[in-house]
This record gives sequence, structure tokens and C-alpha cells, in this order.
Amino acid sequence: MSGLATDDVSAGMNPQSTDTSERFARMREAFHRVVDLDLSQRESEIARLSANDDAFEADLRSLLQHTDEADLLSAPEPTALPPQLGPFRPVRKLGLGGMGEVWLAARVEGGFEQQVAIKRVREGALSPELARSFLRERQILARLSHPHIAHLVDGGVGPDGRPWLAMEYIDGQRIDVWCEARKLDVAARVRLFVPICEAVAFAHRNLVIHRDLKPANLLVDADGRPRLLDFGIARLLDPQPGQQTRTLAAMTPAYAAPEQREGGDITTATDVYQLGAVLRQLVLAAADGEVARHSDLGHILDKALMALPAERYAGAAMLSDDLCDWLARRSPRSGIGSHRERLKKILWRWRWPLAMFAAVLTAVGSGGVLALREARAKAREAEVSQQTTQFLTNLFQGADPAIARGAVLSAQDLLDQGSARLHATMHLQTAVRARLLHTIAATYAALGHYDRALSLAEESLAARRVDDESGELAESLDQVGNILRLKAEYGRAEPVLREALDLRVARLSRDDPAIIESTAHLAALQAAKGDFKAADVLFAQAARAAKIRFGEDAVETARYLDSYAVNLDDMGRRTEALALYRHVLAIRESALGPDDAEVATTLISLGVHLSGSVHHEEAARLLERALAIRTRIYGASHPIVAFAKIDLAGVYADMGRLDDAERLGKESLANIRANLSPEHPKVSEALNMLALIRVVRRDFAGAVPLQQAVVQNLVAALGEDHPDALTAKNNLAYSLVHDGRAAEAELQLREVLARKRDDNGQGSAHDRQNLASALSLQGKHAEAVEWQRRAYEIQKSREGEISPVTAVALRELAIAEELAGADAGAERDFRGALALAEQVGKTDPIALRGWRVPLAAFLIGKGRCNEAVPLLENSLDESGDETASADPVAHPQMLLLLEACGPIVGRQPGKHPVDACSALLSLPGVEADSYPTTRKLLASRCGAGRD
Amino acid sequence: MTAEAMSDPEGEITRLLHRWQEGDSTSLDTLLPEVWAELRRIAAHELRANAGHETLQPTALINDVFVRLLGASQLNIHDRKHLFTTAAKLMRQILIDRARAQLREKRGGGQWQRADFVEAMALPIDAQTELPALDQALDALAQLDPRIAHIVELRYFVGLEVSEVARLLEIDERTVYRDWAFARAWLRKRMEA
Repeated sequence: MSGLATDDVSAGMNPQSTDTSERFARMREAFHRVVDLDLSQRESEIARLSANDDAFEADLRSLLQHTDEADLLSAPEPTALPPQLGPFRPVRKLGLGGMGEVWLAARVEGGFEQQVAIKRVREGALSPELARSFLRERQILARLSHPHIAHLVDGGVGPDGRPWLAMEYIDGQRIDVWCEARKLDVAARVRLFVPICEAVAFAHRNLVIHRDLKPANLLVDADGRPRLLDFGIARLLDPQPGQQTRTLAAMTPAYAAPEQREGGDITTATDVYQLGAVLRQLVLAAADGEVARHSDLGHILDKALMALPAERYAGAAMLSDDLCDWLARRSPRSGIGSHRERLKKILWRWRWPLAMFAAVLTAVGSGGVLALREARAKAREAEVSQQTTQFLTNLFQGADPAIARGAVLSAQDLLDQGSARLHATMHLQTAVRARLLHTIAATYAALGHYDRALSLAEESLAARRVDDESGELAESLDQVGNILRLKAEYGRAEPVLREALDLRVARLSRDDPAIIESTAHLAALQAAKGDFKAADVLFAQAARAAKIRFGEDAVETARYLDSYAVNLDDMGRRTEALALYRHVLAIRESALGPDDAEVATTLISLGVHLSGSVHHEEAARLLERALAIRTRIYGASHPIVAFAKIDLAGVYADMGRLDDAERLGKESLANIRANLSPEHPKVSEALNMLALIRVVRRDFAGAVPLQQAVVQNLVAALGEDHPDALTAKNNLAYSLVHDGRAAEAELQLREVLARKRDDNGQGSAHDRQNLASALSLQGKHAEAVEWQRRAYEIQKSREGEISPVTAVALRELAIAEELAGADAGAERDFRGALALAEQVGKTDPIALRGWRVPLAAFLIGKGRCNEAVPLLENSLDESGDETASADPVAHPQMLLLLEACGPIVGRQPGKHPVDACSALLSLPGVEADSYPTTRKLLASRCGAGRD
Repeated sequence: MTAEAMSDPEGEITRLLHRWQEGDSTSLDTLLPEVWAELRRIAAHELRANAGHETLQPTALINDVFVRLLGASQLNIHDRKHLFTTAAKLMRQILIDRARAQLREKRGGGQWQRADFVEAMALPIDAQTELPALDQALDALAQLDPRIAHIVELRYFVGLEVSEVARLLEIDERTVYRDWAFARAWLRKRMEA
């Protein structure tokens, strides 16, 4: 029942400034005047009537807000079209829309030119229902202020009682006509369509579903901006009282979703379907024939057009994200040997253990004091805890003065002292001893001292096996298992974690949180091993159980959902991961507020994910916010702040803000080295980030020592055979090749290839390609060809023939053949690779100059300039400003090649050979990224010395 | 119910009247919509017909019902305005009483739900409106501007159209529209909890 349990309701009422008859009369008078006016004139009248009486103005505005304009509608009387509606004079009819007629009109008052499209109810067709729809459309439009939605300019009721509204007039063409007229390719059409999806997503966020999306409602204006029109039959998701929610279903059958045709529920997924239908029409008109089944774009369209709404994208924002991802997947750069991998992403899996140890780590900063965790309220528990507390408190109070004199104790010192004292103390209860060992072990682990942590954890475990108190035994098993995982001893970790889970399942009730936690630990183990599918099953199980135990929107559940999402991301199920991150963020923000530590963690996940798409700006904002939160909570010198800095540095690097990225990278490295052990994975991550930045700057000489350090760390922590260590070696080899140290690179890579036993890791083709580069640079051409050939076979069988990486591999093979003097094979493979790239380009964005230029270079080397020049000129046309920074070799290389075929007439008058030469020579590592002919030209025309 | 009544209006209504007079209170729920429909027929007829009739003979049905409800032995209706005003006040009272009774009842059901009844009466009261709150708010409104409150009563509790109200109270229609919109906004604001 509502709150009216008694007759006395006056307590709930709102006093108004109309509480005397005089003021009531005044308010009534004012109201009458204002509602008589058109929308655009109301503001000034309100101000005038209020005459500086703020309370009066507030009440008047409030009353106007509460007004249902339908109350003002009078009965219709048929009359001719009046010459003027508000400040607009109708000029000509634009057409008949769904609800009424549309006129082009011009402003006659107000001192500026404006063209609007005026919609009003058809003559003689006014009914209360129709009028209400009309007014609803006006209200909807008033909410939707967006650059890609035609906005509401004015509105009112004409003298004949028919309501009208004036919208921005879009002088443009329907989107399908526009695309045809300009013969846009698939990628360009998708790029044009993305803002439409975002406009629809915006409408959804404001609780409006369009319901009538079709090309006729999507205009492209003279600036090339797509605009969304006609919310005539749009439906509000939150109907106001007194308004109709059912409307006349005047939709267009060709674009109608199945549920619209069958009279089912209309949701945001209905709009998604319509977007898919329009986009599919646009794409099919561009590609000749069907969109290839294996193409990613085809998959996106399929998902949007699923018959069941629940199987589509839940909202236009997700469709837009996937389209952006698709657009962002550009092909590799035009240079050769560009095979560095994103070690950063792999190391990022290490986030998982940090979440677990965060509770302990939160208390530990450089020189900070160890905070004690709260004990559970059981009698024995309390006693054990008390003793534990006692011990640790004594530890701090009685800290050895010899060490403490003057100096600040570090956390590690405390731990060392603590464990020493613990071992020296005899008369402790087993349970207390085990608890202390466990706590200290956890702290060592958080700091990255895994060996020390493991030894104490195993001691604790041994003690608890004797005592066999089930809860604690499982806890120790979990701890040992997790530390073994962190040390990458997966074989030993697995049985231990399984034992913990089995123990808990046997002795605890089915929905006990400890079981969920053990399941999650096992999942983390699978993920660490790289078995994401197995991890997915377990994470999903844990998430499900958490939802049941804690509730769908509980903070505890969010922790499990977070890990689940990270794993989805690692599996490549990015869209699902993104949706889940957002969900987790929503839960945490609403339960914990916007500035909580857990919120910061999710912001980082979300930001890192987004930086994998084109959304660098947004990613940067999220990470900056997360950084601010952590800095505020933990203080700038806490390692957990440094972790955030590394990720933010990564995003800055992606955005080209290299100085900022480097600054953050250095800060984080310094912080981590000060606080954590050298084996901690975050040390490697920070080093790797700094190395990446140097590589981007082409400071290969500077990158090498950093990457060597990364390799050392990972080998020490994970072993020589671990995929992550091998990846680090591959990246090191890349830098060595570019630094003119091909022989060292060769050694590294041979070792990597010998160790890689199976092909389940990413990039074993990359190792071979890099080795081939290294061999080529040393003149070992024949062997280089063999390695490239093997790499090509691998890519072809893994990715298929028509895919960007395969096209690259074939090109690399061709280059190796050219260097080896196998001209016929080289030419055949150059042309074959170009053809593959062109095939790929029909459905995915690709920079064809990456294939045209090496072919041209080959031809020029054989004296066939007449065939080469058109290829180069095409490529110059294709390259834009963005290549200059991303790939500085590309443009001067093209120029140098062109000039080799004769002076460039009429093109870029300021450029002459010396410029291209000096541009190239100024770039470190340019030899590794130049084609064979270019290298020769560098020597002959630019005077580059041989090494 | 209305449909059944339509098939043999005179007979059906007579039966209902008898049952009511014998003490069956539920038959009123069927009678009142009929009576109110009758009232509105009168109002519409009056609107179309020429002005000039100052006196009015209400139908026997209305007479009977009013008499019973008012507990008077006879009804003196002076003019159209009086008739409708009385009807409005009557219905207001009936609705409020029902609403209060419902609130006091531990379990709902048995009686007609308020919303159904209002809809059967074809009264333009919003479905979410809490009638006791509306009652109090209207009283407050009447203190500040009796005429506006009157407009609201006639619209809400008799269901007259704006044009009919305008004619009855002899105000121009445009003013009635604006006053009606204003009054509704004012009431909504006042009743916000």
C-alpha cells in the first residue's frame, strides 16, 4: 500500500507560494499568459512575470513542468493552413510523414536566417490519441540533444488548435543514396554508420526507442555528417502519467524486426535489429556479392540480425563498439621485420593474484605498518586471533632497537624479524603458530618474495595437517597452491588447489563462500597455464554460485565477475568482457561509491580493454581516474599506485604521448623496485613498458638493455621454457635486429624455436620471421627463405589463406626470395601476396601500400620502372598524415624509390632526393625496415656506408 | 454490466432500483454509472439545444437516486447548474467514502476496486490518484479559488466535457481549458509525496 494509511495526508503535501488567494490569482494569470505562447517565447515572459521574485518563478516553473499539455488541446476545427506558425513561415511541403505533414519553413522574426522542418498533425485527422503522440514526440525530442540527432527548435499550438513542432532542417541525402553517389567502400560505409549507432545508443540511455530506423530516416548532411530523424513513432520507456503508451504501429515492413511484425515486446534490441538491417543493405551494395562468411563484419551483422532479441547485441552501444574494433584492425605496417608482440598483454594476466592479496598489501607501503585483519567471531577463533594479535603487536613494540635506531623499518625488515622471532618462540599453540606463519607468508607473497612465502606457507600447512581443523587446513592448501602458481609451478599447484576444493566441498555446506573462492583459485591456475577455456568454465561456475550466495548485484559477486571478465578478454570474447566490466563497475560504484579502491580496479580493467580498441581517449580518462583514486587512498608511494601507472603509460604510448608514457613508466619502475622483490612480475611489466616506448621512438639501442632485464627476470621467475619468457626473448631479438646486432638476435631466436614445443602460443610464426630477418641481414639468404616459407605455411594453416597475417607472411617470403636472387619466385609471391591483400581488403580495412611498395621496389631493382611507378603513386595517394608518426620509414622510402625512376615532375615541388635520403638516414634501424632495393639505394644515392 | 443494462434499460434499471431500495448496496455500483450516463446525456443535450431553459426536470431515475443518496424526502433542483453541482458533490462523497473504506479493510476484494468503479463511471481521474489526497487538495483549492475548484469538480466527478462546463458556468472555453490545465498542474504538485 502506498503511504496513505491514515486520513491525515496533509503532512505529505508541498506548500507553494500560491497559498493565499491573491498570490494564487497572480500565479493563475501568469500561467495563462505563458501557456498561450510558443516555446521559444516563454523564457522571457516567465522572467518578466516573475519580476525578481525567486519563489514565484520557481513555483511557476514547477507548475509548468507539471502541466500535461494535452489538457490544453481544444476541439479541432477545420481551417486552411495559416501563413505563419510561431516565428516561421511555411515555404513548401516536404512530404507526408507518419503522423502528419512536414513543411519546410523559414524564420521571419528574430533577426537571423534559419530553415526548419515543421511537422504538424494532418488536417482533419486530429484525435486526442494522435495529439498525445505528437506532444510525446516533442517531449522526446526535447530530451535528445546530440550532434547526430536532428534537434528540436521550437513548438506550439497553432490558432487552429493543431500542435506543431519545428526541427532542424537537414539538407541532405538518404544514407544509401549518399554512399552510392560517392561509391564508398565497405570500411567507409561502416565508418559513416558508427555515429548513427552512437546516436541510437544515446537515445537508449535517455530511455527512448526509435522503432522506425530506415535509410529514409538517416540523412547525411552537406558536411558529411549522418543525422537521425523522425522519432514519430518512438516509444518512451518511462511513459508519463496521463500519456498513452500504445501507439499506431506505422512502421516500415522492410526494416521491421520480427517482434514488430508479430506484435511482441519492443526493446532496445529492436533498434539494434533495424540498425543491422540498414547496415547490411549498405554493405551489400558495396561488396560485390555476399559478405564473406568468415569475415568478422559478417559475424557482427549476423549477431545484430538474430531472430530472437535476446541473442542480439543488447544495445546499440555494443554494436558500435564491435564496429569500431573491426575498423581499428588495420593491417601491419609497410616495413619488414615488424614482429614484436604485446608482452604487456600477457603479463597482464598476473593481475589475478594481486586481487587476492590486495587485502594484505593494502596495509603495506614503503615503511608502513602492518595492519591486522579482523577475526571472525567464534570463541576459539577469537582466542587464536587474540594471541596472534598479541604476538604481532609485541613484535612492533619490541622491535630490535639495534636495527630500529634512527632508521625507518621497512615492511620486509619487519617480516624478517617476525619470522625469525616466530621460529625462536617455543611455547605457542599450534593453531597460533600456524596462523602467524600463514599471515607472514601472505605478506611476503604480496611483496613478491615467493620463495620465502612458500617455505612459511608449507610450514603452516604442515602444522595444520596435524591439527586438522578443516577450515584452516583448506586455507593453507589454498595459500600454498596460489604461491606455487605465482612461481609458475603449475604441476605442483594443481593437486594442492584441488585438495583444498575437495576438502571444502566435503566438509562445508554447498553454498559456502570458501568453496566459491577455491573454485576461483583453480580457475586462475588454468588461466595462468593459458588454458582459458578451462578457466572459463570454472570462473563461470564461481560467478554463478556467487550470484546465488551473495546476490546478483552484491559486491562479493562483483569480485568473481571481474575475474571472469578478464578471462573472457584473454579468450578474445571482447564484447562480452566489455559488457561485464561495465556491469561490475556499476555494481561497485553503486555499492561503494565512486572513489572506492575496488572501483579503481575495475576502471583499470575497463581502460586497458578499451585501449585495445580505438578508444584511447576514454581509456586514458578511466585510468587517470583510477590513478587518482588509488593515489588518494594509498598515497603516491604505494606500489598499487605504480601498477595503475604502468597501464596508463601503455595507453599514453598508444596515443602517441610518448613523453608522458615514459615519465609514468619511470615513476612506476622506481616505486616497484623500492617496494617489491626483483622477481615480482610487475617489475618485468614496467621494464617492458619502458622498452616498448623506446622501440616506438626507434631507440633500439636503449630498448635492448631493458628487454634483456625482462628476459632475465622472467627466466628466473618462470623458467626458460615458459611462453612468456620466450615471448620476451622474441621481443629482445626484434630490437637486436634493428640495432644492427643480427648475429646475437639469431642466437636468441634459434634457442626460442628449439624450446617451443607446440604451437598453442601466439606468434611462433613471428619467431621464424624474425630469425629470417636476422639471417638476411647477415647475408644468409637461402636459410632465410626456408624459415619464411615455414612461417607462411603456419599462418596459412592457422588463419586461413585470405587473412591479413597470411598476406604479410607471403610478402615476407617474397622479400627473402628477392634477396636470395630467386627472382621468378619473388615476383610470383609479391603478386600473389598483393592479390591476397586485395581480397582481404574487400571485407576488412587494409593498407594496400604495404604490398604495392615492396613489389614496386622489386620491379625498380630489375629496371622495370614503368610498372613500378603507378604502384608507388597509388600508394602515395593512400597514405595520410597518420603514417608519418606511426611509420616514419614509409613515406621517405616511397619517395626515394620514385626518384630512382627519374625526377618527380609536378609533385611536391619542395622535395628533392637529399630530403628523402636524410629522412631515412636519420632513423635508427632503418635498414631492417627497408626493402632490398631501398637498401641498395641508400648505399648508392644517399652515401650510406656499409656496416 | 453496462452492456447488460443496455439490452433492456428500463426493466433492468427498475430491477436494480428495487434491489437497492431493499437494501442491496452492490446494485448501486451498477446504477450509478447508468445515472451518470443519463446526466451526461442531459448535459450534451443542453449544450446542443438552444439556451433559454432555466428550469429543468431531471428524470425520475436521477431523482430517485439522488433522494436516496441525499437522504432527503424530495429533491429541489433549481437549475442545470444546481443539478450538476449536486451530482458532483455527491459523487465526490461516494468515491471518498469508498476509498476510505478500502483503506480500512484488512483484505481487499469483495467490493469493486476503486479504479474499476471510476472507469465504469467514465470519470477522467488519473488511475494513480489517491482519492483522499485529492479530496483534501480540492478543499485547499476551493479556499483559494472557488470557481476553479468548481470546474475541477464538474470535470472529475460528473465527467463533463470542457465545452459543457464552459456552457454551464457561462465562461468562455479557452479560459476553461487554461484553468483546467492550471488546476491539474497545481493539484499534481500539491499531491506529490
